Amino acid sequence: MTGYPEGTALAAFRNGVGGARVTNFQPRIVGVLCNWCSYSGADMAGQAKLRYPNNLLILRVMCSGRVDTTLVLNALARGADGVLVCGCHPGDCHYVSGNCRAEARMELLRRVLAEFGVEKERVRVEWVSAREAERFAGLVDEMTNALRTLGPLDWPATLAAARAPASTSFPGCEEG
Amino acid sequence: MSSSSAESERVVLFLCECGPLLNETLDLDTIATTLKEAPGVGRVLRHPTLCSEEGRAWMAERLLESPGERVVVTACSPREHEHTFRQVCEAAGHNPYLLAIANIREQCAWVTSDRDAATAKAVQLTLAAVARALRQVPLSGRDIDAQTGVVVVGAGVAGMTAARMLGDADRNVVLVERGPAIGGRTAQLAELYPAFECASCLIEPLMDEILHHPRIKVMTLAEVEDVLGSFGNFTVRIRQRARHVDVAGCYGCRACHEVCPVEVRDPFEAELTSRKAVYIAYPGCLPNASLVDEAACRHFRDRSCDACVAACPFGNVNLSARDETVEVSAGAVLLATGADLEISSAEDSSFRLPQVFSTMALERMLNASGCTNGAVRLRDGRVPSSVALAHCADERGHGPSDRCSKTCCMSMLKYARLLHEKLPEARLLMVHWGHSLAGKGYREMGWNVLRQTGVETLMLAPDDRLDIIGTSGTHARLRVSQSSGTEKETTVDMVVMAPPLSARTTAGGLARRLRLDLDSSGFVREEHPRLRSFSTRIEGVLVAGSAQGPRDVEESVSHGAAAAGAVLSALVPGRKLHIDPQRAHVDPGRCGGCRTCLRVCPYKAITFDMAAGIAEVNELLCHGCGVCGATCPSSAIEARQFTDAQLDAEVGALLGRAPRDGGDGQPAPDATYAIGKSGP
Repeated sequence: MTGYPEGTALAAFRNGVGGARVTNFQPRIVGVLCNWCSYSGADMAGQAKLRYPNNLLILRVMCSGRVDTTLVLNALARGADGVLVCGCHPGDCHYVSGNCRAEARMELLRRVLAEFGVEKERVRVEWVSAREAERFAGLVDEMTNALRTLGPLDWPATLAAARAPASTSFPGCEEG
Repeated sequence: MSSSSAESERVVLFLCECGPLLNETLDLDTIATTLKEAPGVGRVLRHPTLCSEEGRAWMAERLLESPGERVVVTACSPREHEHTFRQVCEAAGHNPYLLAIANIREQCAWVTSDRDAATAKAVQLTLAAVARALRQVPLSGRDIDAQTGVVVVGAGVAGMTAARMLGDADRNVVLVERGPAIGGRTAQLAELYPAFECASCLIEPLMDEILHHPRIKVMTLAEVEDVLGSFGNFTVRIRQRARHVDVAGCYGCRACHEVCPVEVRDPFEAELTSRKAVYIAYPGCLPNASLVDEAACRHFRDRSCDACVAACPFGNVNLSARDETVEVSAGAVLLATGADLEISSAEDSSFRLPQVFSTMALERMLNASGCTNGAVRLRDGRVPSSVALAHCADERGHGPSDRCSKTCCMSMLKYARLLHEKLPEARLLMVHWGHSLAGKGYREMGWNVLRQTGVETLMLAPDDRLDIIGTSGTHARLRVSQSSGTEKETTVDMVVMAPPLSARTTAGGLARRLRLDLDSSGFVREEHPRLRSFSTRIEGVLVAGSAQGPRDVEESVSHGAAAAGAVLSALVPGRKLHIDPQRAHVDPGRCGGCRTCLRVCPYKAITFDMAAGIAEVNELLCHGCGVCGATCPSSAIEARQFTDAQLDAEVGALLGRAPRDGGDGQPAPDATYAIGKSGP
């Protein structure tokens, strides 16, 4: 079973039944996928009609090496509970070595974030080839469950609280 | 991009239903209604199958109603139809780079059966595409003129094959050969495996054709010194070394050789014999003309001799000739610089033993026109009564080597057959680590040799060791130490070892000048090991034959043809080179000149303008990956179509929050939670 068990566990989570771990919390994950391997892998998961949670929202870049810390931090600042960066396997990068640069950069970011109490599990770098649809669906499943356990990151609220007390609304943001 | 465009513009949104497919999981009515209300969305237009011929025509008509409008297509994956819809936009007079695509099929409708969640997700994905579309800018590629001529470096079989194909297609080719004659390694070989054809018979017609081809200019004793410019417009600087003998006026009579007092070891004959300082590369070589070896000639050492000048009956020797440098314009450069046998001269190298011969040394002895006229002899002139063929010598001449040079197994089996024919009484022994016989007709030949010649074989395991030990007598001792602890020894008259192939000495300098990457054996690193082994990571610089990795004659010929084909399809007379606009560019006002981007660019597409103190992108070399942008500490460089502003707007919309700035690079007044690389 690779995808999220649709209609059973998801329904259970939604309905708030099934034990202590069960929560209504639906984490929001931004997936940043390289155009060549990982985005193709995600497309293939769809073509194979695999099931994975709807919590992942995908952003396409040409190369995972394009993903800088700013992009990830901005996603967290906008309310993402986690960011999943996917690129070609080492040695397979369409642009030679961008994936390895992404990995190094994200590892550094994870360490810095850990210093601020942000769990390492919230920022992940994974290699997904164009054929690894099952692996991709499994990853989304796994990360969604991990973040569900960790709970919301809720940076927007934290940042809003740190701001001047007068203003509490964010442009284009319903929940504030 | 201006702030007003992001705020006041509307996109025209095409919602494709994908026949009945999307409606199975998505509530398309809700999606259409929700999006119609969303800021930035103008018209929402639905079509059952937008990618169909009818759908595309319909889309084009709708686009003609709104010139200049930004376009969002919410449908299947951009990997499926981005190209299709860009073409529709272009045909309808819209800039194709103002199109954004939301993938609500593969990455939404098809991965869930939760209709409500999928519908909400589809809206979110489409809003992200709308946010991106509002920040996209019209882009257009550039077309530049390109040269169609080619400089081919190296006149071995790979280079000659490529040169002839290019020449036959009316391309002007300059074939630059470092040595005094064309033909490369193949000219040294005896019969070729697997069919035992005569190597020179096989390549002489090709050599002759190359030499007299109206489109091919052959330069022997020439080396590429520098390559300037880029794909389509290279300037290649070539050093023409002085031959000191006029090729056109030399008839190969060798009168000059007879009077020359200097003798040096002849590398063409694997140093088994010597030649004079004025010499001819080998009998029957092309061009068939003598040359003076400046390093050996006494005239160039102390002016003490000029005997050859007087000896030439045609007055054709000129010791005062100088090297010249010429510049050639070309659209592409093809490296076919081949490989060398890596014969170690280290103190403990087995190759220093008089009983040990390299594969090339045996090859020269077996060659009917070689230094022994086809006779196999030991260095003291004796006929060997036993020969060991030891595969896989490592760099120091011990066995085994980790890297496979791919050609030696077949060569060794060929030698077993030829030695058996020439020395039917001799004992033949083959020590190997498994035979590599992959090739059409290769195993058939190899196994026939093993069956018919009576060669004794000993196959070793990877960690077994073979030592060749010289004896005080005239023999060499072979000692096999197996990892199981067993040791075996035998004594033979002659040992033939296969040194690994390496491109270290041949291509190294030139590759470095071209800023090409080399692998650990000195071979040129290809653009892609399987899909594009004939091109390098530098656009317009191709590689063929053993310069890229060990190759035999058959493979080198195919590789040369592949590289020629790549040139022919990339550079077409009358066609301009199109530069894709999705390339990196530098904002000169923000660039601090730290050169970080130069270091990270995998294509060496960024150079530094010393005068201006800023980085510059060569759009011909750039592949648009965006790694430079991610690394730049001052956001001065980024790849178009994947800019910080665009990605940021997408992320914000995915998560239902506004981007950190108004779209003009200025922070929005109340967006203080956003993190900027360079701060507000």
